[in-house]
Amino acid sequence: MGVINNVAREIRTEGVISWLLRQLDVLITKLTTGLNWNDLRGLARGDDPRRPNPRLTVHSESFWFHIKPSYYHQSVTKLTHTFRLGLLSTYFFFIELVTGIFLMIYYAPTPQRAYGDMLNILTNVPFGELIRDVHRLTAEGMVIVVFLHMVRTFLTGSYKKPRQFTWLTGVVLLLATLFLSFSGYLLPWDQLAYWAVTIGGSMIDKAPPPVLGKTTQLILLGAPAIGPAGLLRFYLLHVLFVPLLVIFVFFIHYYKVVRVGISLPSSEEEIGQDTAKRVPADRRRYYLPDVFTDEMLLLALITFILLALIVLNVYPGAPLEHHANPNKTPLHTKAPWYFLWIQGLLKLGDPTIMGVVVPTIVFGFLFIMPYIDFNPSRRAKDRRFALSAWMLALAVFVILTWMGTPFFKVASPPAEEVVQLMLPEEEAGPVRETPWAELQLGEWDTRVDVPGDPDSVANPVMQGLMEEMAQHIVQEDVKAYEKGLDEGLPNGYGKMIIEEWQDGLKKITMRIFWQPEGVDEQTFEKTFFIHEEAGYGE
Amino acid sequence: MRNNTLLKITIGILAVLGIALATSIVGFRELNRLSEREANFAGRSIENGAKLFETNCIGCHGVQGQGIPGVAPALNSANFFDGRLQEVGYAGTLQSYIELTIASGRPVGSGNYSAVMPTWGEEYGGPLRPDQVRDLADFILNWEATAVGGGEATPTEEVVIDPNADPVEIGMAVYAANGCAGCHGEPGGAGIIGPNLGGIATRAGTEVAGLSAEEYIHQSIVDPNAFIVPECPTGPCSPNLMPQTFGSTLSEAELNGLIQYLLTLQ
Repeated sequence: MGVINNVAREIRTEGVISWLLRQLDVLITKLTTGLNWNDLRGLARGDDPRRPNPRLTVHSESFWFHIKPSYYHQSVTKLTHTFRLGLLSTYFFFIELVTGIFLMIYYAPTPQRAYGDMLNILTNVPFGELIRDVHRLTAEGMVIVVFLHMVRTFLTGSYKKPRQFTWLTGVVLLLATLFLSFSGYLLPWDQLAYWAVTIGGSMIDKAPPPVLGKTTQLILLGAPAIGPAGLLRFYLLHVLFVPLLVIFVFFIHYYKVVRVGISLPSSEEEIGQDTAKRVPADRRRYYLPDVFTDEMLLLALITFILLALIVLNVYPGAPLEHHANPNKTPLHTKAPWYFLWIQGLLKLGDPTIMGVVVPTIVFGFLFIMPYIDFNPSRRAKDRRFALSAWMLALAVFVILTWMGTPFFKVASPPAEEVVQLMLPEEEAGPVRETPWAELQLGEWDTRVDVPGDPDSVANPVMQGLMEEMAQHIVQEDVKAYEKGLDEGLPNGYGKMIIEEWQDGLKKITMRIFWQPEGVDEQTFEKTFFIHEEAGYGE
Repeated sequence: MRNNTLLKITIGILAVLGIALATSIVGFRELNRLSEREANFAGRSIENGAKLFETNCIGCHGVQGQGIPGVAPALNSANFFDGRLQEVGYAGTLQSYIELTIASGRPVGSGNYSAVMPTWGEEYGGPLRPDQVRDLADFILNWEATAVGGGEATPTEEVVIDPNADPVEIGMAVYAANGCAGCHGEPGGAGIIGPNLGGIATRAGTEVAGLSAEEYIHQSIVDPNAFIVPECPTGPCSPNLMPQTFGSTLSEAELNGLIQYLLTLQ
């Protein structure tokens, strides 16, 4: 009763409105663990805090803010010092968790259901495609951001004492990020997924000694080849085990960052010294409100950019190829771009050495690098060797990545390449990009149906296609000799036969002819069906 | 400091509004996008089905699904879309009927059709995954527009055989008109489910003791079960695969022509 009487007395003396406002202020102070309404306004306006500083209470009372230091050295909060790449990595991981949970609602990891579930997400779930695109784009973005984060740390020499272990946990996080991205690759159970992971799985198989490789592969895939067991295992690794590992290692990583402090620009301290934690009072930049504002601004901008890339179609969207088919190897199996360097290595020699030993050495070196680098200086002029080695490594990485693409040393028959260029198995290609109705029925020939030929009965669209095909035949002929294949496409020409096959369905037969010296004419033929609504070209 | 913070907060708010705008744009387009994507993937399913049909089904059901008399029914006919379910007393949808038939096959040839429909579904030991069976069904169902009417029917040529022509020419026409190639392939090529007839003239005289080449071929056409050759392209040949009705459906001239034609295949 006493409480109610007190409240009544308070309301009588203060008036209802000011009493309610005061209660509201109490609630706000509780929610913000120490900041009342005026403090919040002060934060937004950039006012100085009152004394005692309530913003510091937040750092001791709130769980999320206690993780953050209450102030930083002015020099490290400049965007150009760290580019806040660590924060971005964490934020991207958070986006992945949220979008991933949404995708999990509509997905079951079995070969019978997985692909159908993807179709359902794309055709039947409102915002399903957006969520999937965000998940995919952020995953690739996370690989880039984590990589750049590591590059920045290397260039500023921040991995050196006392931050060696922070670097080491960072390499674990890099590997986890790569594996998360790669394991997510398999889940749609399409051709892209199946064959990329088949290559990955066969690399593990090559790990020496054979017993180790075979056993690891068997544990990972649950069978000698990818199947239901492998899909389930990759799924569980993707949604449960590796994310848990990331969270676990992330907290170690971040605890070290806060404990030791972000390294100052090397010019601001003596060689061998580390003064990151001793911040003079006049160089302090408080987390609330300055750094917090910067961080929130950055995250809002990045989120906006991600969405804009998707909405404006700059990012073409997460691909979904045909259903996984173990009996049909695609002409070019492409590793995800961040593993192209390994694919490039594989083309250079023995798969055990190039596919397993070299990458292991690369990542092993990254792990121990801070412990074997005895140069105490973080200044660029003292680190000529390390920085030159880095430039060299980057160049090798770029070259290997290029070598991983089909442009390098992929010896598929040139006739198949021509057909693939005109009508790829999975993507749109010039024929599918032609409006369906303009694919004129009939038999078209690269020797006749070129623009300006009076014999041609083709319309300009078909003539354009034939011209393109003729160019590809010439180019592939040249490439075949450059790549040292036995046979190019001498005297080559192509035909394309278009037939009405069914309601809204056309059958397209692609034929490539060529005639080497003293041999009969050779032919390659492949048929396709194109449906009016298939929409590859859009 | 103060202006700087305000500027940042303003940009931040604008970015959040931008996020809301981007999401609204997606939301605004979403219903159209869903139906568009549905049509896209329905179309791609038909494409996949067409490819599968070409690799697996044309041997018996014909290149355009027109069927082969005595072997396998037409799938592009009005009757298939309008009457089949009532005929067989199937209570489900035509789509499920097609998928079921593809997946689990037909253990015995029914009255009109001699060929056994194999079990195509992988759950019954066949080669096709469930999604492929669905793709095939989508492709077959896409014949509805041209089969039931409205669209143009798939042209099947009416073959008129001139009884006074050269017997070998009659035979070639009979071979084409009765869909022999559906199972035996083009002579000299590869057999599809029945043995290829290239070189039959050479083999015929020695297959069964006491029968001349002509008599052997005659018997094989009118009474196919009398002698079953051991090897077919898909394994050992089995009885009842070849229609038993050619003795009554072919005229004397046609039968004779066919035999004469086959005898030219040395």
